Amino acid sequence: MSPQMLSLLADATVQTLLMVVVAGVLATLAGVPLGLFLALSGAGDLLPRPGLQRAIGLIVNATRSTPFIILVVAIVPLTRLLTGTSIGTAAATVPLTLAAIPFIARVVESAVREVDHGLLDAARAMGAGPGQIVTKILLPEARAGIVRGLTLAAVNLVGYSAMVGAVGGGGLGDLGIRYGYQRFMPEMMLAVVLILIIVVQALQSGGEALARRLDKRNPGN
Amino acid sequence: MDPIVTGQDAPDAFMVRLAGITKIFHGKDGQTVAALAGIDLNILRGGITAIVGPSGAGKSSLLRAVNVLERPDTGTVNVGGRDLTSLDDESLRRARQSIGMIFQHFNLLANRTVAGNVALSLELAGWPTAKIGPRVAELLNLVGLTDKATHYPAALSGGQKQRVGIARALAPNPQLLLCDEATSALDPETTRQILALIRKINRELGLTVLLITHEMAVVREVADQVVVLEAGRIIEQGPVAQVFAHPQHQTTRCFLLGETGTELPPALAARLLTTPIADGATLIRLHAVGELAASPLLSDLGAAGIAARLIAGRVQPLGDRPFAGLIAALTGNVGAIDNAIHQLRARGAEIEVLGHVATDAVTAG
Repeated sequence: MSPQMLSLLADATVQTLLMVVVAGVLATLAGVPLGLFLALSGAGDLLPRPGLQRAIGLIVNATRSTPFIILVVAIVPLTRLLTGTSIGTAAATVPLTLAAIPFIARVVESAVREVDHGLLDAARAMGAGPGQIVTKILLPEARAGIVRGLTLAAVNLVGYSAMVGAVGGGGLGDLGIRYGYQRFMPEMMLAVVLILIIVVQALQSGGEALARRLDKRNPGN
Repeated sequence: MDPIVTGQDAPDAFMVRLAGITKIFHGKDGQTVAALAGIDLNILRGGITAIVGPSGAGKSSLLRAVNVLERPDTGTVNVGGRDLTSLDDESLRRARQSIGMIFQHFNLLANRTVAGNVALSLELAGWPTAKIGPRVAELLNLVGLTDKATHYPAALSGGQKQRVGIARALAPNPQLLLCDEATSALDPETTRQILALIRKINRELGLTVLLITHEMAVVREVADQVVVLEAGRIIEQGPVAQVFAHPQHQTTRCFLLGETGTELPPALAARLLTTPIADGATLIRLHAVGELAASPLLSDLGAAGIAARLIAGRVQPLGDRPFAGLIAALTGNVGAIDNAIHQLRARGAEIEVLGHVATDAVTAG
């Protein structure tokens, strides 16, 4: 493989990682509170707002059921408004973030709901307020599940980031399509796929190792 | 219903005063179930009071009404002189910090160490960090878990977990400890150890304890006062020795049978007659507490010319007094038997004449 090709690969890898990290961080900042809200706002929950919960749940489901490639095209006006363009890595980050928020919200919701209800009783009996219950009970007890969910979200983002390549988003997907597919360079395609596999593997094992370390529910951890 | 203790009716004598407590649950099919159907109950300060009853009697709802974890539909909950039902959320939260609670399934945080779990109640109560460490060490010493401070709950046995629960509940210096079936998930030996710890805390710290249980053994072992609950109502209450020796209500009697070892064997129950027969035996169930239980009851009967055969029975400690429960088959002169029963009752024994059987029913096998 020529030095130009290697430099293209390096640039594309950096772009992909940048998209995944930026979209991942932004989506976590929005998705964790949203997931907490979904978990705590049902009728009979800690902060019951069942009407709002249903409305947000509906939006979350709608976003998750929209095919990603359609979401990318559909929100082009928003992308232009935020980044001034609809092409390139920065622009691609907008639909990636938007797609990851509802996913993260749902995984956080399910991790929080899995916290033993008896702990809430104990916390309330000790005089804990809703804020303390969230910060001292729910988030610490759900942390392993949340980390596993975020790992899953990051892996999905790697896949989605390759897809935005198809619409001019840059990154490894873009490289694979333009060089590997359109210019018939199988070695380029192979290199792109290998790098993606390595990135996904690294995310998955890193996330799992962290989740295991945080999870004290089983003896020996 | 009379208060638990008469002659001690100064307001300070009671840690908890429940008045007119009702709680109704609405089922999905529109049915309503009264979990609590008008409870008036005063809990003696400094004592250990046990609320017993079959499952579904409303024990749990009653206990959770005391710290308003479940808000009653009507009635007032007064703890340590404050009406908790009238407090706003913030004041209620502060009031709960002076009411400790332990649970059947311990409810410890899996991701906090033993010391971290004990510290939690102090953090929630807003203790300064510098004071939390020493207080946690003090509590772990009290419950005998100093060497487990850095372990996680997953590495502990059930009894150890409950000790952590107790330490956590006691850390903010509560005046009242609520125990929600605290030993129901433990084996008998561990149950005894935990009950001994609760007794010790009650005696040494003067803490008022209110516990719910479905096991009469727990009541016998640890409680001073007992309240029997059925279908959301109090059907009987009083000092444990009194209720055990002289249960007034049929449900209480049934509940006590298994615990006192005075269940009539089925083979005998099948042959039971209501009228005396010639050369038959009279079956009695006898409960006695204290001096009477320790006295030579059987030889007293023998002296009256009555042969007493033991069918079932048990003598066990009730607090620090012996408590005897037995079923005996009495044979002899009918008049002498009546007379003996009369005399034993006069000495304080609780005697129930179960019926009569042919003599071979008690001598065979």
